[in-house]
Amino acid sequence: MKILYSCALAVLVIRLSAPPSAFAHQGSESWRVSVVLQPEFPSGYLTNLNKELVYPSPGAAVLKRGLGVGDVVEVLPGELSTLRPSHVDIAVSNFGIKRQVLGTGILRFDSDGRAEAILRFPIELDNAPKIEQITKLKDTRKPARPLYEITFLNPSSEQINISWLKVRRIFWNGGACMESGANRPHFSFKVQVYGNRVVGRLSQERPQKDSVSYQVKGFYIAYCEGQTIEFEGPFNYPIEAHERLYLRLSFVGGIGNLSHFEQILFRATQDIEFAFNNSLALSLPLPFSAATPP
Amino acid sequence: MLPRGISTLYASYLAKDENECEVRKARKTNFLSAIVAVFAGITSIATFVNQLTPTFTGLVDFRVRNILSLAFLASIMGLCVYIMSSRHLCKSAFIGQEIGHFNYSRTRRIVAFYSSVLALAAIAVALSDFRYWFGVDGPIQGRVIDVSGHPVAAAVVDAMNRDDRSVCQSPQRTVSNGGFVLDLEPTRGHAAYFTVKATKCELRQPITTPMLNFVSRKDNPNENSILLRLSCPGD
Repeated sequence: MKILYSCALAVLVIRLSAPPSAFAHQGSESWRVSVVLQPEFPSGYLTNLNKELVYPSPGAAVLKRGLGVGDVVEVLPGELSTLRPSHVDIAVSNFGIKRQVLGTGILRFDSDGRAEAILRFPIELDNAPKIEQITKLKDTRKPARPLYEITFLNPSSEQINISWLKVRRIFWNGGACMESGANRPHFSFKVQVYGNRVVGRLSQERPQKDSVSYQVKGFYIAYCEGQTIEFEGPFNYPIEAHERLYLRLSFVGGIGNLSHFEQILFRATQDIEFAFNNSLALSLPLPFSAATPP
Repeated sequence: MLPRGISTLYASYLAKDENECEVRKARKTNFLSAIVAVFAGITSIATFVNQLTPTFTGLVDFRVRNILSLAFLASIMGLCVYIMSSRHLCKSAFIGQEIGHFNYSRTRRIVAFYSSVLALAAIAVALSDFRYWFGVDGPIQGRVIDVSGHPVAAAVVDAMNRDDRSVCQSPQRTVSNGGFVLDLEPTRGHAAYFTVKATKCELRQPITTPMLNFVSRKDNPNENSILLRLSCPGD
């Protein structure tokens, strides 16, 4: 009986006096956590996510870009600690989207010390610029050029910059490039921009002043393979805080102008993509049918 | 041993009744009964308060409080039993035989009985505190939602022992979907409460389900998840 009491007392003393780490479940063996990020963007929006390690704290672990399909990051032991974490929290952020902290939940490590987690999460916009309307106008000039009017809104309290423009045409029923592998497209074009900026606070009225005329230069074929051809180039046009911006884009050349014949024959579609502040991209299909200009 | 010690202690307060039997002097026995009743009440109430509120946290370790409480209550129980059951033999002047007398009057024995019932209930409560002595090992996970069911992000979640001290390696902030993972530290005792501190409100929720149900272990991949509901809108 005395031996039994002694053992119980010894267990009690050890449990009460041992340092917390002595009973931690984590081992100090090497480990690696792969996290696959699967963001679900609102329709038309796309951006690269800035990733930041929240847990384990930086120093205890490091975040590195991982290999694999999609947006993969790897969390590795840091210099200060090699303790295997029970979970990993990663913050994602960028211009125009709400900062989110994503948690993997409890991780399960295999015998090699590897753990994987897939994080699927919706992206919430945060004062992101919008394209409120995009309309194809009838151009009365000869020869007629494709003319589009696009209404931007900057709901944020800071000036933003339309930094990049990309035009993409996809031929669902034929090739986009002249010769396979030669990267020579059917089309070449340039873009002329006529801007009208609404100076008032989110006013619906269009002032006639403060108009600009702008020609996009430096467009190049970013991608031309198979059925897809993409032109892109720097755009660099500011939108002041809480302002609307009306831009008219006139395409000189073939990319904007899909004839009725082409539409039917190639079932071609085209869309336009703007990048804001060199990060947040917003794409919309260019309409085929023209409206009367106001 | 205890009744004999007390009997010796109070031997100087003996008096003789009308049957020439030795009984306790009324003033002294009243005092003893009152002390027993008051101690029983105070200790029991303290035990209940200790169980229900964090009033005594920070004074001494909850394990020490537990032991002290049980020791007091056990002493009170002993005294109560002694008062209720102690007798002495006395030769009756009328029948010429020795008959048994209770040492204490009926009223005092009734008081001692009720005191013992209270002390017994308090002992049961104090014994239940033993479940908080030793914690469990491993991570637990859960989510925090507000009254409308929306996840509460950036709230600080912790699990506390009976001393209002964390039983986790560190408190955790909930992620955007309200999720959290806590790494339990078994040496700090068993979790008694979850605490959630959001910007607009706080939650202190007793743990009603055994913590082992939630702890993730290698051989138990089907761990449960905790759902903590804030009773006010989240951030």
